[in-house]
This record gives sequence, structure tokens and C-alpha cells, in this order.
Amino acid sequence: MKLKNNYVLKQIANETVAIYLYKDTADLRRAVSLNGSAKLIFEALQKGATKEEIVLTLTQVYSLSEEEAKGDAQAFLQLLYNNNLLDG
Amino acid sequence: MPIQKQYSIDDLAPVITSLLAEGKKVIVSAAGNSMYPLIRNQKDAIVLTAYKGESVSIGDMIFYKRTNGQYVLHRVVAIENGEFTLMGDNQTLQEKGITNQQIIALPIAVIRGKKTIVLSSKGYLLYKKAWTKTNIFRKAGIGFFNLRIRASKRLKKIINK
Repeated sequence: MKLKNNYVLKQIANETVAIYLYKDTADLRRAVSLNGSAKLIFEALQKGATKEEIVLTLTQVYSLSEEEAKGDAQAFLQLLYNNNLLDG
Repeated sequence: MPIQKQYSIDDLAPVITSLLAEGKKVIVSAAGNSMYPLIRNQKDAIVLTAYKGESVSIGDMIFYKRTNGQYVLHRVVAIENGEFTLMGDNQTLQEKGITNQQIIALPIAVIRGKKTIVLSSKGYLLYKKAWTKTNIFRKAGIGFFNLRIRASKRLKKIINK
């Protein structure tokens, strides 16, 4: 489970945005807006975290139950997958 | 939830500047029709590279910041005492007094639909030359075109009354 492309995270208009990076070119047409937990998951994916590690991070940072964290992580990962941003 | 979003050029400006400063090229969507027919609003995109004091000539496009804070990509139509006069390809009004310090980036390519036009290509250089040389006729052409649109709108209003 990993992101299909390289992204760089930047702030745009008070939002965290993942910008698609191909070699030395940043494509601002494909900016993905991220909220707090989405940013956390995105950063974890960039570091190669597993789903279990992501769930653990969510429970620690947001004091979620394991069940809630699993649900949030699954929903977000599914969204990334549906948008063709995630492998496997 | 992630959402793929389109941001205004003014919202994107700090990020564009930061990415350019990191040595990256930046692709931004076209906003506005002032550079039509070369660049179409929301359909096309521009590849920008940081301005590092390169020489700018008449006919070149530059991405610059106006004194009111707006970011614009227009074409240089005159240079006088080191100051640039800019105009959109689809415009007749000239903007004078733009300085080197206001230039943020230079475009190196236009992504026009599925086609990428490299701005150093022979085809584009011919287009640029022709576009600059036909400046006077273009003004008349755009004026006539706009007149036709206004006349057509008036006619529709009269008919619909």
C-alpha cells in the first residue's frame, strides 16, 4: 500500500494541500486538499506506513478508539484508491 | 476527506513562489481569456520557471505581480527605459511601467489541451513573431469582434422585448 506518485505538502489559503510532483515539476492542477486527519494519513503513507501503523497513529493523536480509527483510515484509503492515488 | 480542488491564482501565488524558489517548475491552470487564442481559460495550462534576471524581449510572455498584488501572464509589447509594456493577446489595452523586480517567472511551455507547445520551438517562435508584427491589425480585429458581440447582444435584447 503506497502512494502512486510523489507529492509535496504545502499550505494554500489556510488548507494543507498535496501537490503532485513529477521530477522537478509541481503540478498545481492536481492539488489534493487535506484536512487534519487526512494530512496525518497522507504523511504516514509518504513514509511507507502500514494500515496498522496509520490506525495506531490516529488513536494516539486524536484519542480515537481502535474501531473509529480503523473506520476513518479505511474510508480515507478507499477514497485515495478510488481517485487512483494509491497502489494496492 | 481529500478533494481535488482548483484554487485561484492569488491563493496559489505564495506556493508558486515557494516552489520556484526551491528550483521547481510549476504547472498552473489558465485563468482568464486575456491570452486567447494561445491560452484558453480553464482548458489550458502554463509551465513556469523562476525568473533569474534573464533578458526579456518584445514578444516574450512574463508572469508578473502588479502593484495591486494581482498575478498576471501577459506579453511584452514594448520596452522603454528598462520598463516593460504588457498586453494580453486578446486585449487592446496596454499596461505600462512593469519593472524587472515585478517578474516572478517565465513560461517555458503551454499545455494546450492534449498538446504541449514548447516556447522555444520553431512553430511557436513563428507564431510569436507573427503575433507581434500584426499588433495594429489585431487591435482592429478584436475591436470589430467585440463590436459584433455587443451589436448581437443589443439585437437580442430588442427582439426579446
